[in-house]
Amino acid sequence: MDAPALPGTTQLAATRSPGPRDRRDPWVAGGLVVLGVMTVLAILLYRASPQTAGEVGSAALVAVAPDAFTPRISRARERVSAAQRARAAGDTAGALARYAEAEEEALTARQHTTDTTQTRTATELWASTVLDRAELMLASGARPWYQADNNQVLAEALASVRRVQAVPLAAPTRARAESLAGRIDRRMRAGPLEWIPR
Amino acid sequence: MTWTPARRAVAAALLFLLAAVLAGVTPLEHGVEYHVFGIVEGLFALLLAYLLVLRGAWAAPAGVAGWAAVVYGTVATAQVLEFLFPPPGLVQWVVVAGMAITAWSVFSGGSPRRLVASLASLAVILALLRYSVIPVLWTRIGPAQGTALGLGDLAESARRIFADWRPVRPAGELIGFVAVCCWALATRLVWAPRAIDAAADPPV
Repeated sequence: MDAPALPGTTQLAATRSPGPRDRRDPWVAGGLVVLGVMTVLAILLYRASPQTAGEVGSAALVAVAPDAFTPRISRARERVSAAQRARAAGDTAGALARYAEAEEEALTARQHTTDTTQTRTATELWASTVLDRAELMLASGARPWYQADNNQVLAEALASVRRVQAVPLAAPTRARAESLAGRIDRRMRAGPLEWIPR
Repeated sequence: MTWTPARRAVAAALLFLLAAVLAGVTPLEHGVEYHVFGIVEGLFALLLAYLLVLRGAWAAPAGVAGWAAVVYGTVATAQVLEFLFPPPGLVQWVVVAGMAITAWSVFSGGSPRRLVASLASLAVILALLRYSVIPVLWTRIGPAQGTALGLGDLAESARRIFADWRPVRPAGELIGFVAVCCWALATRLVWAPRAIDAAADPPV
């Protein structure tokens, strides 16, 4: 894309075409290599989206070994911690987003397990994260009796809990899922019916 | 070390990359967001890159290094625009439509120095709008969300139609400023407007 000469002006003092000397210039060649490496690192950084400086390390581990179970499960736990911090600070939207990321990481970890212990660990982490998120959605979707509940959020929370119930889980997690499903189900009933037990 | 045009182009590409990375990082109250430019910023960056090369503010691309500088410069411009444009909503539609309609007439005339000065003024106005006007109005228009027996929720919906704004920590503005500095420094490295400057900006 050469810049055309403008009326009333002389030709642009454009960069001269690089000659063979430029192509052999170690500074230029080295700079282009550094540019390529830094571009890849920048893409990995944006893809991993670390939330703290500490997470940069685990994100790098995941990037280096994307098929490994341990970095994925560590990253999922980090995301759960970040979600709990956001929840404690009252940032519901942020907490929901972090829980969703943790779910995704736990699911990916589950796909890369090598034995049944790892599969159980990843499944339990995934299930507890989904239930945490559903609890938070129930809290944010439920309104006082004189206001309409956000049924869309409640329905989404119930669907998440149903997904958990469809997976083989430890007894305490299964009981928690059942209890939460019952609470959401009751909250979704119209008006005062939500106070009447089924 | 002599600064040949190819070396300048590679250094500029590295600085443009740094600007692009930094401009998209936004520290929030809890966590960090990583923004990548959208179609609006991308198209506008293409137009600006074309104008910058046409007016000689960026050296015409020559060779791998020259093209790298222009490509990375365009991406960095899009990321900086993502940092500066108002958040999605009516305000953004009005501002971007106004800029798109007037861009050619405003930026295509005059010397490269005037083009860069116009861009700097535009950046100040956009920063003022996004980081001063919108936050101040946001906190003063109507009741807060979840208050006033549901009226706050209605007010929040109305505010989101005008600008889907989220609070940014001061560190976010500082990082954006560093990104803009990197962009300016990179532009200085590929600055090549000598002939046009002499014609359009005669010495006083």
